[in-house]
Amino acid sequence: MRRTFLLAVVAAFALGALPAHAQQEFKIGVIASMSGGFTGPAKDTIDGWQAWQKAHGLPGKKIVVETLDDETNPVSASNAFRRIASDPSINLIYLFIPSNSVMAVKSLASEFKVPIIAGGAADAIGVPADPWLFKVAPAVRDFMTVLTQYAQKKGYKRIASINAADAFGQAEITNLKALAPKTGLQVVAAETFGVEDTNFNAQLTRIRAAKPDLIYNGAAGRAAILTYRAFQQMGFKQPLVVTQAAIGKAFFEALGSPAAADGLMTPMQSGVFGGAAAADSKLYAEMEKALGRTPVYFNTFGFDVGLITEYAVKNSDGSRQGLRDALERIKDLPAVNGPVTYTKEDHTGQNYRSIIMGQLKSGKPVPAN
Amino acid sequence: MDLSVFVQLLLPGLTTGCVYALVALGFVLCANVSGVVNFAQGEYVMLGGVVAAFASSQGIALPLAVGLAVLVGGCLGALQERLTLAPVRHAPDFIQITITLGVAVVLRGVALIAFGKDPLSMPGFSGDGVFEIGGAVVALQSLWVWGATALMLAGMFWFLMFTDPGRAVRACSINLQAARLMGVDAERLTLFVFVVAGATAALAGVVVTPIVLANWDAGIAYGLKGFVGAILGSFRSPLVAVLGGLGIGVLESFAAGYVSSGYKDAMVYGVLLAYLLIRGGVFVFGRAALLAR
Repeated sequence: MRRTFLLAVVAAFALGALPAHAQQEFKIGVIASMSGGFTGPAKDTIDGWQAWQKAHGLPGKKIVVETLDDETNPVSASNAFRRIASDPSINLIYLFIPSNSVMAVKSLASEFKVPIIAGGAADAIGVPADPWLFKVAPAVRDFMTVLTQYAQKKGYKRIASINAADAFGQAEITNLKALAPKTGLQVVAAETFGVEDTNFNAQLTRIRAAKPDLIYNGAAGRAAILTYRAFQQMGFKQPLVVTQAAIGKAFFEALGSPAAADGLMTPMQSGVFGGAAAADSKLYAEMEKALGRTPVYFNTFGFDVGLITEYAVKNSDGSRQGLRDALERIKDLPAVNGPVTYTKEDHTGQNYRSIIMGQLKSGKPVPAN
Repeated sequence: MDLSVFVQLLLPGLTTGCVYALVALGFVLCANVSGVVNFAQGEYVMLGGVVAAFASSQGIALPLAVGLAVLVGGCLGALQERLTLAPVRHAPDFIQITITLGVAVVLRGVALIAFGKDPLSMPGFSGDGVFEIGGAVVALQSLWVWGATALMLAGMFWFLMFTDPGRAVRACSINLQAARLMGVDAERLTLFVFVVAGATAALAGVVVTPIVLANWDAGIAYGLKGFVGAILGSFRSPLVAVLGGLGIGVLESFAAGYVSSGYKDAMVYGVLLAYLLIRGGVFVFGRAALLAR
């Protein structure tokens, strides 16, 4: 028995296992949608985070990652979170999952007391703040703020909106209705649809009857393609603003070519525009180099998650409590998309300052004039 | 609202209703012969769409892509019957129905893995244009959907009314046991009906894909609305089920246009609820009398 143990120790040295432990481990639990509807964004986020690891990483620490798939399902997300958060060796958790799954995890966050950096755009992720959960991307209210400010700048008075009948869509319309009067806008139509719907004629007929100056379309995925086609087929001439999530490879492929969407507007985080338009062009260049290609939106998000992690680790003792406290102290931390700020009351992270109204030109977003 | 608005709501509603109608028809046919409610029926619409769109994207000529999708629908219908239902034919109904739910989940999963999560598009059979009728703008492909539905329904009518297997299907729907005693080979007929239902639903999926795209998760919605149509036909009358499917498509369009888009589904299922309560006799006999039965 003793001889077997000695052999095992020798073998461990020979395989180099012990030198690997010479570096202090920093263990990150990742819950990501590796299957289901959110697979694409989750994968892009991980690519962006890996680019940060390549460009920055955590000097002096060995990052160990344990990943679980939530199958784009809130129940699976909660189960995966319980499993990962129960592991005492986990220092920090990332949630690269949709808003509704993040909300499912939020209700458990304080139970396990592990700092969490989360994706998702729903306002309720960041406010009211859970002490242990930190969101990154701006909230829905920030995107709607940029939309209403743009409408005001252009002198539009009447806006119509079509949104999904889910939490995200309803948050959009609630915020739009609240913000519109402040910029002299009137919401003349607020239509909804189910994410599985294939026929949008009724909603668009009502929007046409309301005679808006500007239309906001909150559809993503298949609904975004079908509504955009329907707007074109029914001959709408008004400027159309869509949600950032609508734009992607599938959208352009379904329309026939990227040029088919020319002129379409969307409020986007500044990192998407790249180069000088990015909130921090130096960080953007680092990300692009590490990634080896032109980044897409969720790459920039993943890179920003890495930058936030870097700050928290550098400014804490590495314990769960220490990391949480460091995260809450972040104020105007430079990131690709825009400065990140957390307060005790607001764990949103980035805000409207990180958003620019963009316009598509041959599939590439450029700042709208 | 004026006539053009009415037509603008009616015609696209009819287009969607055509798909629901064909799914409802598949439900009724399968239920009549096998006694099983096939909850995988909506998935054949999805499969028809994704197979044809994928084949088309690979440069396969449109008629071949359509034929391939219909063939896949028919073959999978046969496989479903042979592999998952025939072995448990004498098991309780709830087991057989649960199995069809399992098949639906498997088909969805396979489609996701094989064709990816992004919606697949396919060019319209006569281009992606639109035409105007009564002041309404309608996609040209709608003509293909209406035409294909009418053709399939006419074919189905001929089959049920004027062929021996069709008469056997009708006999099964009246009394399965008696039909067997009269020499109807219900097992073979069940296989045949599953093939027809799978192929019909797949064809519906193909013709509607240029309008609505094809997506791995689209089958649930078609299946549910087709199921409502089949309930309206009491899982017995193919004609009422078809009319029910068409009616649901139009009703949800009118509900969204004239009432509110938020109440669209609530109205469809509200009508179903009211229908079931009326049919159950709750308004004639009263709740207490029904409970006492």
